Amino acid sequence: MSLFGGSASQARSRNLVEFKAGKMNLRGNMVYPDKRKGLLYLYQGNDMLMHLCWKDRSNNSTEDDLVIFPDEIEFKKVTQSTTGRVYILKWRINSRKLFFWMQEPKEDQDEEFCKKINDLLNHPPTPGFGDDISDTHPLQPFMERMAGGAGSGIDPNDLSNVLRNLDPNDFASLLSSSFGRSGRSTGLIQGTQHSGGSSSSSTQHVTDSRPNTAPASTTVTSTTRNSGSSSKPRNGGTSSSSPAAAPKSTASSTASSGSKSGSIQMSALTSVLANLSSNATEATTSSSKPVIDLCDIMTNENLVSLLANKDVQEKLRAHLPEDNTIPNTEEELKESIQSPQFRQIVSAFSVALQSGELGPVLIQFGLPDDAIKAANQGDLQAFAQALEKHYKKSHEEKSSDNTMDTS
Amino acid sequence: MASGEWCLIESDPGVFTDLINGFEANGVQVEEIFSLDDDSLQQMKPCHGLIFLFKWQETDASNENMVKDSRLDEIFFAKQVITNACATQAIVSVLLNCTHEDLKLGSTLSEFKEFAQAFDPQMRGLALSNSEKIRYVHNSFARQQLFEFDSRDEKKDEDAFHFIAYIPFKGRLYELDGLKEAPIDHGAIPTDTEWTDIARPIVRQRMEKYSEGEIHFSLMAVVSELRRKYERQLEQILADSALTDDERNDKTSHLSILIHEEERKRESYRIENLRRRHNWLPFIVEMLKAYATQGLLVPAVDKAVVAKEAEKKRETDKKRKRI
Repeated sequence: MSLFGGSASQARSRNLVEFKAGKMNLRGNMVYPDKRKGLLYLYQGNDMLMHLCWKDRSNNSTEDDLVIFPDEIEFKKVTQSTTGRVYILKWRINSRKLFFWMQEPKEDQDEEFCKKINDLLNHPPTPGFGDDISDTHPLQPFMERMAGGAGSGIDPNDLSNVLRNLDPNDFASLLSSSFGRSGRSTGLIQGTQHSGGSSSSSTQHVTDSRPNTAPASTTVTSTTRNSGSSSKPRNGGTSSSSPAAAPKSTASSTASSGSKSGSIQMSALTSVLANLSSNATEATTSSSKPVIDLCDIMTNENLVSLLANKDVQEKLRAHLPEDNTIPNTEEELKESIQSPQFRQIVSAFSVALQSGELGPVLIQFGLPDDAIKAANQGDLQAFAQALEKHYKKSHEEKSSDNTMDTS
Repeated sequence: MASGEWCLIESDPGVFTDLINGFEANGVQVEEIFSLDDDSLQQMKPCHGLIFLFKWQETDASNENMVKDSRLDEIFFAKQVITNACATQAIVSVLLNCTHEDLKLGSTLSEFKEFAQAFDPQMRGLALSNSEKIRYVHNSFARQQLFEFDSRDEKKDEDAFHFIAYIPFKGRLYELDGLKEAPIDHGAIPTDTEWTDIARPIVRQRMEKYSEGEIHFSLMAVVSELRRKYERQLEQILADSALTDDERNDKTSHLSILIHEEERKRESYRIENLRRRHNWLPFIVEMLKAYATQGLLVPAVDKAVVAKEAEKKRETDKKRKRI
């Protein structure tokens, strides 16, 4: 007797649904389909979790493996254009979105695949209990409007209206949400999770009239003051998580270029972008920020300077693990900081901070407002700057009360 | 943490040793083996099981020598049901098959063994994953999940660790692989031979295979508690009137050093555990504030960003050249 079926003995069972599909990417300032032939598939691991994966059919390598929980996403066709077989994978809890384009030679199964993905992800098979598939979930208003445009495709005016009403962060996510190497499910996390990574989605408009070809390239030019370039998520050592700097929308008035018949709609998009107010002071693309591990900044040199200050030492020692048998000394402090256990936690902290998760947690420490804001946006540099702005100044102001041990 | 969930734990001899004690089993400890060739295994005998861990999910397809007979009722073999529970499963497998007098199994594991003895491997795996007590101890060694933050990517990198146990059982060598259907019989252990001598070539073969593929692996041994062993030896020596004073002093000082080593080891496991379980968040925040106060933070972060970007550029360039 086997409760989990024969598949429990393997790392994963065979795919529950699979179909040929391509990804869509953001590269630099251009948004266009990834022309590679791919396969989007779903399997249930032996941990009972649902994995949505994309693999490159030319070399059979799986590039993306997302764990998705029930009620976390919706998978829907994004346009009524008959030639554009573009689908959106949209998260409910935040504004993360991913786009795919169908590569199956015939369209007739598209709908079925779409339904299967939704049903399986939102009602994963439970062994012995049967599947209980209920109605599909109601559409989000945004998606309804997108999909409900009159005629085929989307009227540019309608598009711009809709986009104008989007929260800038949502919109930036629309542009830059990615299906990066380390796509992470957000099922257990409340609040926003911004994804990083090296690829991204396009808008949903597809204008190419030939079937089975990739949607037309669309471009969105955005000014970015951040010089960061696309980067791969950090995968070293024990913390291998995706970078997740918050995407920020940008204002731009540059016309789109390089697209084919889709250019009319795209220029509408870019002018909309130009009109959107941005609450970001710094424009970036989400994939541009490399994820820094704060362990790297805790060099010996830095530590020596840091610990030279007795005041700092005292403050830090107060937060060491309490244990009568461990002497609360400078030596212990140094050892703790250099211990693998501490460093592992610093790495985890770094990732959490840069994914925008820690804002709420850090409030309790009385950190300055702009530091919290930076934390909410997952912007490490802004966080660092905010902290220095606040603490360095007050330190200098108190320089007459110098407790620096310069001996 | 949802009930029923097993957290990721470190593959570390200190963690595994404390885990065993957490299960209230006594008399054994886990040591890491760095080389099969030297006499480290010899020095640490009696050895009750070898645990080979490697970073790979694929299990080789061969089903040779799989046990299919009534021995299945005697050997405690459980199929792997939960990935994160892997380590605990391997350790429990070794312990439940060990009949050596040094091992005191304790009530938790004895009860579990009784309960699950009559089940098939699948059900045993399930029973293990449902054992609240065992899971509770396992999870107490979890990597800190400070932030309600499900770092699944961390898990992805780590959960590719797979554990295989080798045990001597009633005069034969068995391989217990939770991803397979049954134990594998590697043959009889000749009398007057250490079982580890028989296991050595088999384990070595695996090691070589994984080295070629640059796959990380570790080897751990479940051995009788060393400190107790040394203390017994010390007693014997002190009582041995046949030794000269010099000989006696030599041996006792040597053993004292070894005993002291063990004490130090246990103490560092304890401290590591304290550090593992401590909430470091206030400390980290304080540290960042201190860096900021001294103007060290921004330059260090900026420098790290630049370095990362340069690294990324190098990688992208490399990729482009390949295409």
